[in-house]
Parts: sequence; structure tokens; C-alpha cells
Amino acid sequence: MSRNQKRLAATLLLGCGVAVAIALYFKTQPVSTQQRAKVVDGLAVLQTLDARIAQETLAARYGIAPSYDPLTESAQGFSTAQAELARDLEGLVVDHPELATALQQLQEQALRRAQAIEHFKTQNSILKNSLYYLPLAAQQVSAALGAAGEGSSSRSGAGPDATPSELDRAVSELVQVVLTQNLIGGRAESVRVEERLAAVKALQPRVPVPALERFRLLVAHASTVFRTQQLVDPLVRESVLGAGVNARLGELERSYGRIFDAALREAALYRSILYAWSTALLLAVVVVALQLRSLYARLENLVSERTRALDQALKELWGEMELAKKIQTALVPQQLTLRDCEVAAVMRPTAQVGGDYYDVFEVDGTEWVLIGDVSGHGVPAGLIMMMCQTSVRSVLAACPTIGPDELLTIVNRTLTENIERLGEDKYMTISALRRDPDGSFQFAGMHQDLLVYRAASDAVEHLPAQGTWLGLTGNIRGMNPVRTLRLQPGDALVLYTDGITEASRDGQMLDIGGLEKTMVAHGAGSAEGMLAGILQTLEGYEIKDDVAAVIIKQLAPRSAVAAA
Amino acid sequence: MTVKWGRPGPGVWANTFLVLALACSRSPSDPAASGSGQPAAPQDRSGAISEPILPLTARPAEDPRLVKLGSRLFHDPILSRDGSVACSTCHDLGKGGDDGLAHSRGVGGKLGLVNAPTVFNAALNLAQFWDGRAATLEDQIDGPVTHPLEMANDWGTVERSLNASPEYEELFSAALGAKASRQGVQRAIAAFERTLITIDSPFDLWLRGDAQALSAEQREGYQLFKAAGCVACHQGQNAGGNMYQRFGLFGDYFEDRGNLTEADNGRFNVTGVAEDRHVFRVPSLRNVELTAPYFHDGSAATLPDAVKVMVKYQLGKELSDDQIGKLVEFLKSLTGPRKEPVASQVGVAPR
Repeated sequence: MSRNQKRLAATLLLGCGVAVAIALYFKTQPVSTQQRAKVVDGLAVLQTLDARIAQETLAARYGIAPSYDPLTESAQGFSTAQAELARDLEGLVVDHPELATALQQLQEQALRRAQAIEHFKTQNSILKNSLYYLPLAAQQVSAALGAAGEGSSSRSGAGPDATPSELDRAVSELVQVVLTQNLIGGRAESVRVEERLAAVKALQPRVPVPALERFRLLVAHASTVFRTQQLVDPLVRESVLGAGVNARLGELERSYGRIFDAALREAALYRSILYAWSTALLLAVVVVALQLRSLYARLENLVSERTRALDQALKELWGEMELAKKIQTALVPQQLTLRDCEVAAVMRPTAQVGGDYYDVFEVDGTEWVLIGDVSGHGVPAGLIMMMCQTSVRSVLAACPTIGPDELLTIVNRTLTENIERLGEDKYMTISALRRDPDGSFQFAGMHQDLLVYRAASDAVEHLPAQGTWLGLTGNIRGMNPVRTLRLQPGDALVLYTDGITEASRDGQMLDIGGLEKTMVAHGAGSAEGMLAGILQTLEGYEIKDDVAAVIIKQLAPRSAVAAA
Repeated sequence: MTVKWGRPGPGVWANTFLVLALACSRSPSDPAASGSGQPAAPQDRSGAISEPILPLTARPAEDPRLVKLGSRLFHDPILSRDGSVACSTCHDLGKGGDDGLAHSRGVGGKLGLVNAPTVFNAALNLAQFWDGRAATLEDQIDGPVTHPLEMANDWGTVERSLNASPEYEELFSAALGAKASRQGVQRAIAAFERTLITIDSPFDLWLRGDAQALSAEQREGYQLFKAAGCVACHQGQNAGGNMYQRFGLFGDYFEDRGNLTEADNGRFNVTGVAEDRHVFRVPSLRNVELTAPYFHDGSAATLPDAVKVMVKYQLGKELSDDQIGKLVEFLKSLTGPRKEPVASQVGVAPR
């Protein structure tokens, strides 16, 4: 498995882990404490109102409350609170038929109770009207009977008029049993009321006419009390006992409690799973983090190791370059002597190892001067330059008097081959000058033009370079024509590399013209003087390339032989 | 908190007996002795008024923007199909909140089925309409708007015509932040109607301790009102309106009157329960002086007529003309000024 695949797998696993955690979190949410608070509050309000309805019903029944306003308000409050509770439970009812049943039963019972309350108010008003009137009605009958007894003896029925005391007694007995029955409401009392009512009704045909209407009213109200009491008390019971509303409320509360507890347990279970899962996830993250840390530590080690190795390699490389530079410096001739000449030379590589090359030496009486330039800089250029130097020295050691063209042909063969092997795309310019015993130079090669300061004319003579470069093709035989140069005493030959002529200031190159002027200016001086002049001229110029120069100043021959 | 109310224990019953004994000893006062009633309303030891009728009090403030819209709608015939009938046509606030007709006239002059009840203090009723078929004022508004004998409209048309009016667009937007809708109309008119409370009638002032607020005759009338049993139904803040009662307890009112209509069934039309036949919401007696003719059928042209019918059919008693006169005088003391903003002033926050 590649590192990328591992990373992808780890990311996927982590994503799945987080997704599971989120799913678990939502599983812990169905228990809404806010909803529970509302439901608990709602149930408490309903229970309070339920109790209040019972109290207010009793208060209305027994004349404590002068109006039905509080009872009506509580009953309306109950339906409002019940509707609100039903709304709060709406979501739960769908999933819990048990709760739905409890709620529906509560609503049915509450509706029955609400109807009972309305009927209670209706009947209780009738009862109160008659009940409170009954003693007064008895008094009025009594008064009417008294008046009738004194007056006429008109008859209302077939039998003789009942005596006032007989009627009075019957009436007051009736009122008494009716009031007692209203208080106690027992079966025995009902039977007595029925008896008394029957007795009083039996007396009715014997009631004197003036008292008859009041008598009838009394009987009607007594009957109303008796009848209504039997209607009212079951309604009171239904209202007070809540027609089972209280029990239904309890059932609803228990049902909701069970559901809530179950939901709570479930949520708690999921919460523990969530905690465990989160812990595992956290551990996994920690493990991954630790692994990442060790991986980073390893990587860091590796990087520093590699850096050290690189540093080492660089050092070694620099060491090698130092060596190459040393070799190159060592290869530059220490002794610059030519018969009857002053020789001055300079070599200033720009890179650590340069591609410029010059040599001045003598082999078995034949003096040689060489100057050249390998294209490019650095180690490869230096290497090629060294090859060239070695090759030149080897050839000349074997054949000191070889023609300069022949020398270049041989050296080129070796050099070309080696450059090809190195795989470097390089070539080399070179001019080779052989100084014969008579002091004349035989020269060949395609380096820079040779510049000769002629003391006689105090001017500079150009000897254009002709031929070909080394390293381009294996065989250059016949391509470098040999020419001859003679120097008169005071003349100076200047050999140079393009580092000098291509030095520039303000976009202007020094060029051969600039070099010539310097040569003329220092024409009368020594070779060293001229070199110093040239180097002085270069100050203030930007030098982009290696700089090498060889100056050969012809002196008067000690042998007093002058060249023609 | 849990308040348990189970079967009452012996102690409770003992208490209720005591209470009943007290009630019986106090309540059946002699109408003949009522003339010596106290000048001001009696109060219990806590200083609270211990009378079956309590003074009207200010209701919670309504949103003035809603009230303004409600008032505008209440007085606008735009709610009716042909634009001829407004709520205020039958519930004229200048005529005690109804129209003085036995049966109101709807669109095209159609005759309504029952006598229009007053809108004043209607908010205090336990339900709306004579048969209590609407639980709230909001629900009630649906009735007259869609009834074929009243405004004969449908809510789609109402909403379209209101939404076509720039004035209503502005009013609805200000009051409800929405376009005109059935619910919006109901909320606004109900809010307006809840401001129609007649606080500070002479009787209420008397209840609060102003002995001069009632004449001696009115005070006697009140004692008679309680002693004769009227107060058994006409009690509470609204002197009625908080319960239902059958019309014709002592004697069959409907047989005596004849021409039985479906509306005479009363609450039976709502519940379908046999014992609710001829049962009606007990009307409030507040401002009763202004709301003739009386009863659901508008059969009693004057207040003494109405009192006579009540005494005969509901109380089963005999009262002299003098006593009835005193009762009528007392009833007149229930007429209260409306302190809420009238139509021209709406927009001012109600008290």
C-alpha cells in the first residue's frame, strides 16, 4: 500500500468515525428537556385547575361562591391548557399509541366533565332559586292561610277546607324534609320527601282558594328542589371527582413519564456509546498523531542526514576543485624566460577553475609559447585545459621541433577524443608559437589575433589568427597555416584571451583598440610595465571571463645578432 | 407541583354542611325587608366585595394597531356580499351594541333567525351566540360573515376585496405585517370587540363603595334581584353570560308563545343532548336598558315585559308591579359608559 493510499484510508476511517459520532449524538437528542418542562408544567397546571374546579364547584353548590365566574374561568383555563398540552405532545403521540390513548381518554373525560360543569351550573341555579325561596314560600302560604281562615270559606275542591294548622304542619314538614334531603341526599330522605310531597299534594284540593296559588307555588318549588337536587348532586360528583379526569391526568403523567424515562435511558445508552466512541476516536487520533510525529522525526533525521551528506559531498567537491585549481596554478609556468626577451604573464580565472591556458617553456633548445581558451568555465573547462597542457608537453617532449601546425593536429586528436568521452560540448581556441634559435616565431592556430608593438613605428601590428579550433573534429591536418613573426628589439608581442578585450564599461567593450592604446602607451616600458598598464586599464571594467595574458618584449640580443 | 384532589374525606363533608347551614340561614332574605338594604355594597373582612355581581374591570391592553384595523373592519360593509351590511349595522355602538330590532336584517333585507345580542362586554361571555356555538370572539366572527341571512359572504371574496384596497393593505401591514386574511380579520375584530367594555356603571360605582351611585329604589331593586332568585343565573362580572339555562323552568314558554322555530332549540342545536333543548346562554344584563327588544326571539318589547316573563317562567314566583318596577330601576343602574376609544378615536392605546 502506498503512502497516499494509506493516507486516504486513514482520512476515510476518520470521516466514518466522525459520522458515527454525529449519528450517535443525534440519537441522544430526542429527549428534549424543554419539551419535558412544558409537558410537566402543563400537567401541573391541569392538576391545579382540576383541583380548583372541584373546589369551585363545591363552593357554588353550597353557596360560598356568589358567582360562577371563577368556576367558568377555571373550566375554560382547563380546556386551553389541555389543548396546549395536546400540542406539546403532538410529536410523541404519533410514536406512542399508549400516550395517544391516555391523551384521548383525558380529552373525552374532560369534555364530559366540561358538559357536566355546564349542566351543573344550569341545574344548580334552578336549585338555588327554589331552595332559597322555599322557607319564604312556606311563610307566604302560612300568611295566606291565616288570612283565608279569618275570611271566607270558599272551596277549592270537593272536601271540606283543611284547617290552617293541619296545612301549616304539612307545609313545614315538607320544607323540613326537603331541606334535610338537600343537605344529606340519602335514599331514606328521598323516600320521606316523596311521602311528604304526596301528602301535601293530597291536601291541595282542600286548600282555601285565596291561599291556593301560593300553595301551588310552594309545591312546585319543593318538587323542583327535590328533582333538581337529584340532578345536581351527581353533576357535582362528576365535576368534583373530575369524571375521572384526575385519574386520566395521572395516567397521562405516568404514560409520559414512562416514555420519557425510556427515551432518557435510550439517550443515556447512546450517550455512553458516544462517549466510548469519542474516546476511541480521540485515542485513534492520538495514535495517528504520535505516528505522524515519529514519521516527521524520522523524516527530519533523514533530511538532516542528507543535508550532512550533501554538505560533505559539497566539501569534498570543493576540495576537489581546490585541487584542480592547485593543479591548474601549478601548471602555469613559474619561470617565464625566453632568450633575449622579457616575459610577463598573468592568469586570473573567474570561476574556481578556469579554462584559460598559456605556457612558455623550452625543450632541448627550442622555445615554445602557447595560449588558448577552453569554451566555458569550471571543472570541465579546467580539465580540458589540463589535458591540452599535458598533451602539448608530451608531444613537445618527444618532438621539440615539430611544426606548430603539426603539434595542434596531434593535440587535437587526443583532445577531441577525450571531449567526446567526457560527453562535454566543448572546444578550445589555441595559438602555438615555436621560437627558433634565430629568434623568429613560427606560429599557427586560431586563437586571438596576435598584437605586436613595433617600437620603430610606435604602433601596433595585427597578425590575424587563422586556422581552426581544437575539439570540433578529429583531424585538422592542413587546416592551420604556419606563419612567421620576427621581433625587433623594443618590439613587444602581446598574447591575450578574450577576458581582456571583452571587458566592458557602460556597455562599451575594451576591445582590441583599447588594448592597442594601452600597448602604445606602455610601448617604451618593460614587459612587466606593459602588463601592469594593461591590468590598470582593466580596473573599472567589468570582467566576465577568465583573464590571461603573456607579454614578450624583445631585447637586444646578447649575441648581438639582430634579426633581419 | 402536584395537587391531589381525591374523594373528599369526612372533614370536607362536615365543612360543607356547616357552609350549607350558613348559606341557608343567610340567603333566603325576605323581599319585604329588602327596602332596608345597606346604602353601599357589603364587603367581606378582607375588603373584597362579597356580592354575586362584581364590578367590571379593565382588560389587558390590546395592540392599538390591531384595534384600529378591527374598528375599521367592524364599521365597513365590505365584509358583506353586496357591500350593504357591516358588523355595526346590527351591532350599533350608539344603540347599546345592537340594532333595536327583534330580528336583524342581513343582505337584501333578509330577516335573521334570532335577536342580535350586544357586542358590549361580549368578551366576558363564556361563549358566543345565544346557543354558545362559538367558543371565542374570533370564532364567532365567522358566523355573521358567512351566514346567508346576514352578510352572506365567503372568506375568499372577503380576502380578495380587502386585498384590493390600498387602505386595508396599509392597515393590515401595520397591524399584522401581512396581507388581509380570514385569521387577520378575525383577530382584528375580536381585538376591537375586547375593548368594548362598559366600565363604571352606577351599580359598579356603588359596589366600589359610592353610596350615592344608586337611588333607594335601585338598592331595593338589587335586594329583590337577589332575593327573588334572578341572581341564581345573572351573576358574575357580566351579570350573566357565564352559564346556560333552559328557557321555561316553571311553565312551558315555547308552548305559550307558539310558532316553534329551529332556533328555539337553543343549545340542543350545538350539543344534540336532549336536556339542552331550549337551553340558551344566559345573557348579560349589563346595558340591558339599551338592548330592547329582549330574548333570543326578541319577543319582549320592553324591560318590564321581559322581567315579567322571566319571573313567570324562570323563577316561578309572583311579584307585584311595584317590585318589577324596582327590579327595572336596578337593571338601569347596570348601564355603563364605554371608556374605550370610539370609532373616531381608535389608534389610541386602550387603557
